[in-house]
Amino acid sequence: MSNETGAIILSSTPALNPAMVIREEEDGAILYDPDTGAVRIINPTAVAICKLLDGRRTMAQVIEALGERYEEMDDNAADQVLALANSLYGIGALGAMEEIG
Amino acid sequence: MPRVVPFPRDVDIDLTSRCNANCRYCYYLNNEGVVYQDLPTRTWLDFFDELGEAKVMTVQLAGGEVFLRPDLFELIDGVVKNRMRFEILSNGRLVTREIARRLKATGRLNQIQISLDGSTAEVHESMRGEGSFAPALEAIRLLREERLPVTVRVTVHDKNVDDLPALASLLLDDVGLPSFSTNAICSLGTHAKYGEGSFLSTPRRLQAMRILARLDGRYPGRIRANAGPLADWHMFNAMEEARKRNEPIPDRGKLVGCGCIFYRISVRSDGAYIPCIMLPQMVMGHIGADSLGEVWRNAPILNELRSRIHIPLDSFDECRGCDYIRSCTGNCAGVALSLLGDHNRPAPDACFRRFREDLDREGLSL
Repeated sequence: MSNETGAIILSSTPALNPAMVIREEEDGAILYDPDTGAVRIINPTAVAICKLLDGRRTMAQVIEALGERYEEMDDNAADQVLALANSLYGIGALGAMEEIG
Repeated sequence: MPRVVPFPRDVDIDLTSRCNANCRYCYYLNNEGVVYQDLPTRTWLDFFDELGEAKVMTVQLAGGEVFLRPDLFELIDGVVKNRMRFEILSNGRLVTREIARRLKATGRLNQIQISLDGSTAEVHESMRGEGSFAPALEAIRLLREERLPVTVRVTVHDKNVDDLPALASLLLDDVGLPSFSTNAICSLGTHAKYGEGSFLSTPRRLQAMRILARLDGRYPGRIRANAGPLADWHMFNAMEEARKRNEPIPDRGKLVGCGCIFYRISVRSDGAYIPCIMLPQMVMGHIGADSLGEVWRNAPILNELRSRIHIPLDSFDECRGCDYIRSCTGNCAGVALSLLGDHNRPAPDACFRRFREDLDREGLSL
């Protein structure tokens, strides 16, 4: 995944679909949509990312905030975060976004 | 031990203790020490708010007969408002097209299960009471027409074993259900108190296993079972295979039969928290007075039940020397409590060695 591909790019400001529920458990969370029954298991880092997707932060700001939280980030962390966001967008878990590519 | 999640994912709720059926093997009614009373709407709605806060995912609404509650759809609105999905267990007698459409309009129904034990009124009503067959079958057809996720539970007993092929054909070929599930009578409630003559004898149990196994082959993946003859058939064959290979089945050899208590809890119609519908006397607190999280994490009996998985089967006299001990789960704590008066023992009804010995005496084999 490149920063310049996918529906969500660095300048996007996505928000988690308010219909989605993040049910946190010890090893991460269950992200589920009560309207469809769709379920996705996400790891703790993905939980942190979801909580930052508030419709105000750009994806670049989300990645920056993660960098402050996790001292050692992979070189391709930005691509991974964008891949996750695009994956969540694909299942309808992200909405109310501006500047979608 | 599996990790205990912060709150249960699923909650089984008996919304009412009233029922319009009179099933001879009812596990629910007539349990000693159980308070059969219903709670007002507001109490349940407040509880659903608590479940929503806890991010519970699914509630199973049962009873008694849930459609006897005139406020059922108000309660379902409370489930929907709190971002949960739901399931319903029913005998189908009160299901109408309007009810089906209202259920569909919620958009949150995982499944509605109707009980049907036979392909004819004579077979079905032999245990479930006169006049119960036609409404149940009509409910199944109607729910199917409205494209709701309807499923059927068949309780296998002595009077419907021979009818199972016809029933499977009715449900899967004629009605067109994707699948149905099977179980067996358990020694609880009305059956434990008054029932007799409806448990399967050893030859009939074997016959039921063979019939269901053949049907499982004819309808691959469409006949499900977590308990009862088909589940026993699969488990006993796996245990026999493990014995022949002289290998254990992983994570067995201890009392590991209770898995639900790590992610699921039950609530009786009077609001009492219980570990499971199979353990209705084990009260752990009451909704409104005791918080879900506190009960879920700290109820002594619940944590004791979770610790059963550390009890090795070779600590029981009846299990020592058994060829199947390394592939056995000890099965259901509720059945063990009902039959032996001790939930921390293996349930005798699921003992493969005993079943084989009974078969030997009858000149039969698996």
